[in-house]
Amino acid sequence: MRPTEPGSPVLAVEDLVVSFPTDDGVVDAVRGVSWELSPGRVLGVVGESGSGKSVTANAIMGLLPASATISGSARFQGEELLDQDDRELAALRGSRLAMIFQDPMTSLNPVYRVGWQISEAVRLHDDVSKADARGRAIELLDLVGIPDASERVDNYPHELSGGMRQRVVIAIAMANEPEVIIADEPTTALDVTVQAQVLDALATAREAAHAAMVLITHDLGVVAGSADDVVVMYAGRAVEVGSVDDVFYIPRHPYTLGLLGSLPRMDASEARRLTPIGGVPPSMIGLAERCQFAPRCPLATDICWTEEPELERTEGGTHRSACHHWRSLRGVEDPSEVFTPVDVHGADDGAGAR
Amino acid sequence: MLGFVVRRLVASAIVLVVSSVLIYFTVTSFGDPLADLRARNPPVSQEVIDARRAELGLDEPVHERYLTWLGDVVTGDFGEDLDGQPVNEVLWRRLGRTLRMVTAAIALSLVAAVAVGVLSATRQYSKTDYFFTFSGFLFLSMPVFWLGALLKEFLAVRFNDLVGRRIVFTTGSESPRLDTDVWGRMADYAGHLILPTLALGAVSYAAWSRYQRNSMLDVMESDYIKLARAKGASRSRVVFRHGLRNALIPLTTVVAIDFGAVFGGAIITEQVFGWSAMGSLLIDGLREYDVNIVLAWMMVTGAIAIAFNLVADLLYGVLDPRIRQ
Amino acid sequence: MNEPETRPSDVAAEELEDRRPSDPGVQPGPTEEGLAVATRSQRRMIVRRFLQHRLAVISLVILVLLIVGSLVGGRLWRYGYAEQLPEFNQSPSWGHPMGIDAIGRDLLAKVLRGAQRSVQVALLVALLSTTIGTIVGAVAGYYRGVLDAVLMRVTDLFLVVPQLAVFLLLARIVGGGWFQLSLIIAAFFWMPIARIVRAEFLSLRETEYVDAARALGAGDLRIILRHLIPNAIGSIIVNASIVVAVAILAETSLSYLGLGIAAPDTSLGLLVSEGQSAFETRPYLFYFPGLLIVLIALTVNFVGDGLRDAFDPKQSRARR
Repeated sequence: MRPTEPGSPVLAVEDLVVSFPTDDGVVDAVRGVSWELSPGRVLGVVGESGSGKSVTANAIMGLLPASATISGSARFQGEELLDQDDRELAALRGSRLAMIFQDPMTSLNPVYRVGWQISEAVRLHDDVSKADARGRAIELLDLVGIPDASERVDNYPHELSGGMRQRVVIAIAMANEPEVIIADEPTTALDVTVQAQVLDALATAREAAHAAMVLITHDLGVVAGSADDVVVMYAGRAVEVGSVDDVFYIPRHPYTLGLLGSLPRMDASEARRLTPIGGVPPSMIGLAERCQFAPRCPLATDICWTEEPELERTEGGTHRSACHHWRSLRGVEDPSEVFTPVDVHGADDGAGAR
Repeated sequence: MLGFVVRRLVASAIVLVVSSVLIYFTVTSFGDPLADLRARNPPVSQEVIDARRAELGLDEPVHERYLTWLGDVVTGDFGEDLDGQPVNEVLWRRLGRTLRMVTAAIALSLVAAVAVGVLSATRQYSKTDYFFTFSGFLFLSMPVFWLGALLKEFLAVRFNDLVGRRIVFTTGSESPRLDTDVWGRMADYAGHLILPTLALGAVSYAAWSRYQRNSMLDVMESDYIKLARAKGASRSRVVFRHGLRNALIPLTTVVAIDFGAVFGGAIITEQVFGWSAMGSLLIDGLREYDVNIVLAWMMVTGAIAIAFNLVADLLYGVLDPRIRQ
Repeated sequence: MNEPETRPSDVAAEELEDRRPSDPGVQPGPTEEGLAVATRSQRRMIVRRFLQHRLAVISLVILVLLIVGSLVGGRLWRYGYAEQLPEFNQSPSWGHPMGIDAIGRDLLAKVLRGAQRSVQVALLVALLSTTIGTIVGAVAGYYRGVLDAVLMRVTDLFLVVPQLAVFLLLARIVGGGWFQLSLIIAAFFWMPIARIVRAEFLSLRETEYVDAARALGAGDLRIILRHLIPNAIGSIIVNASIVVAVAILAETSLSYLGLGIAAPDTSLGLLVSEGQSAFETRPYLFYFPGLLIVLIALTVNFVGDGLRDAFDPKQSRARR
C-alpha cells in the first residue's frame, strides 16, 4: 500500500500469518494480512468476531500465547517486532507502542488504585519519583475528561463506571506519549451514549501524543467517524483496503457492501430496508481453497469456489479489493441491489427484491 | 468494620452456646461416667456407686448442671474433670502443644502451596507441573496416620542413624525435663515438631496447592494481566505483583474453611507421634464420658476456629478492596 | 471439601454456541422441550471429554476393579478373615500373597474384608449425603426464604467444630458398626454438598433460560428437575467423588483411632494401626492395608479430576 502522505509508515504489517493448535484442530486465525499505518493517521480495522482483527493486534504486541505460530513481518518504525524477545518488546510496550483493550470492566486490576496503575505505566519506562508519577496520573486523568481527577486518582476500579474505566485505560496507554496506539474494540462493551465520550477521549489522547492509531472494531459507525483509512477483514484476511471515503462510498467488495447494508441509518433521507448478509462466517479450521465469502455472496460464480482472490488495485491509488468480481460493483448505489432486503411485514411488495 | 467484628462475635457466641447445649445433653444422655464402675467384676456395691454419683454431682437434674457449667465458663472456669482435677490446667497446657503443631503445619503448607501453585501455573503442562500435580494427588490420598508412620521410619530413624545423633524425634512434643536455655528449648520443640508438621501439613498442602494453581491459572487469563503486559511490565512483575496478588484472595477463604480439618488431622497425628495434647485429651475424655472435658475441648476449639475465620474474613477485606463496604 | 466449584453454566453456553443454524442434527425450536434437548448432546460431549483423559480412564478401570474386588473378593478367596490358621507371622508367599499375621490370620483375607467395609461405608456415605444434600440445597436455593436461612445457619454451626471431633463423639455414643459409621459421616457430609447445590441454584435460577422456561409454562418442579438439576449435575457428581475419597479417609481414620469399625470386624484403618507396631520386623502388615487405602483414594481423586474437566472444560483450550 503506497502511503498517502510523505514519510514511511510507523507500523507496517506484511503477510502476517497466525495459527493456534486447539483440541479440534489448527485454527488459522490470520492468513496473510498486510497493511500500513502512516504517521498521524487513524487506520480502522473492521470485521466480525473471528475475522482475525484482534489476533493481528495481539501478534504485533507480542501478547499471543506461546502456542501460537506466527510468521510474516510487523515493523514498527522500521524495526521488526516479530523476532524480538519478550524483554525487548516489554521496553517498547507501554512507552512507544500502546494498546487499549475491549472490556473496561476487566481491563483494570481490581486490587490496585487507579492512580497506582497509571503511575506504574509511567515508572516502568521512566525513572520518576512516586510523587511525580502521581502528578502525571492526575494530569492524564484530567486530559481524558475525568472530573475531580485529584480525588478519582485514589479510587479503585470498581468505584468507577465503565466509561470512566475505559478512559483510565486510555490514560494508561498515553502515559508515555506513544507513537502508535492500538485500540482493540474500545467501545464495544459500552453503552452508545458513553461511546461518544470514550471516542472523544481517545481523540484527545491521540492528539496530545501526536500518535497514529489502529482502531479495531466491528462497528462501521465508529470507523466512519474516526478513521482516515480502513481495512476490512474477513476470515483472517484483508478483503478490502482504502481510504474511509473510498471504502464507504465506493465499496468494491460484496462483504463491505453487505456490512454497509446491515447498518441501520438514522440519517437516510428515505426509508430503506436492512439487507443482512445470510449465513455465518466460516470455522477457521481446515479452510478450503476458495473465496471464503463465497457461501454468503450473491455474486459468487465458479471461480469464486475454486480460487481465493488476492488483493488487487481497483480504481484509485490506494483502494484495493480481494474479489474476482469487484468490477460488478461499479455503479451499485445501494446494498439492496445485491443483497435481499429483510421482508419485515410478510407481504411481498416487490421493492428492492433481487 | 468494628460493627462487623462485633456482630460476628455476637453471632459466634450464640453458635457456641447452642452447640454447647447440644453437646452437653448428648454426652450426658448417652454417656454414663459410671459405666466402668458398674462393669467391675466382682461387682461393686450400690453404696459405692451412689457415693460416686453424689461426688460427681450426677444427682442433680441435667439442665441445672448445664446452667452451673455455663455460669462457670463465663468466668473462665471449665470445672473439674472426673478425677477432680481442674480442667483449665490440663486444657491450656495441651492446647499449647497442639497449637504449636497446627500453626507450624498451616504455615508450612501455605508457603509451599503458594510456591508450588505459582510454579505449576506458570509452567502449565510442563514436567514440573505434572510432577507437582501427581505428587499433590498422592498426598491428598494418603491418610495422615500412614504417612506419619512412613515419615517416622524414613525421615527419622534412618536420618538419625545417618547423622549419628537424635535430631528428629518420633515421640512426644518435647523432651521431658530438658535443662537448657530458651534456644535449646526451641531447638527441642523443633526437633519434635518436624515429623508431625510434615505429616499433618501434607494433605493441606496438596489441596491448597491445587487450588492455588487453578486460581492462578484463572487469574492469568484475565484482561488486566494482558494490560499489565501491554504496559511493558516484565514477566515476573506481572506474575507476582498482578497475578499472585489477585490469586491469593480466594485462598484465604479456603484456608479458613480448612482450619477445622487441620485440627482434626492434628488429633490423629498426635496419636501417631504419641503427643500428650488435645487429641488424647478428647479421646480419653470421650472414653470416660467426662462431659466437662469434652465440652471444654469443643468450646475452646470452636472459639479458636471462630477467631481464625474472623481473621481470615478481615484479611480478605484487606486483600480485596471490592469487599470493603 | 475445599475444591473450586465447576461452572456448568459455561458448558451450557458452549453447547448452545455449537448448535449452528446449519446443523441439521438438532432442532432447537421455540419450545421448552427444545431447551431441554441441549442436555442430551451435552451428555455425549461430557463423556467424550472424560474419555480424553487417559489417567482418569485408567483410574476408573482400576477403581471399578477395586470396588468389585472388595465387595466380592472376600467370598472368593479361600481363607476367611477370621479364620485361624496353624501358621503365624509368615512373610508374603505364593499361598498367602500378603502373609500371615501374629495370630495366624491370612492378611489378604483381612485386607479384603477391610476394603469391603471401607468401600461400603464410602459408597453409602456418598449416596446418602449426595441425595440429601442435593434435595436440601435445591429447595433452599430455589425457594430461598426460611429453609434457606435455616440451612445456612445450621451448616455454619457445624463448620465451626472440627469434624473429626464430632465424629469421635458420635461414634463413642452410637458404637462402631459400619452402617452406623456411614450414617454419622453422612450426617455431616451432606452439608457442603447442600451449600454447593444451593449456590448453583441461586445463580442458575436467575438465568434467562429459566425465565424462558417459566414463560413457556413450565411449573416449579419441572424447572427444578428438567432444567436446574441437569445443569448442576456437574458440580454434584464432582463433589460426590470428593465425598467418596474423603469418606474413605474419614472412616479409616476413625477406625485407626479405635473409634470406628472395631474387632471382630475389621477395617483398613484398623489393620494399619495393628500393623504399625511391627513396622521394623514385619512391614507387610503395615504396607498392604495402607497402600490399598492410598490406591482407592488416589483412583477416586483422579476420576473426580477427570469428571471436573469433563463437566467444566475451561482449562482444555490450546494444548502445548
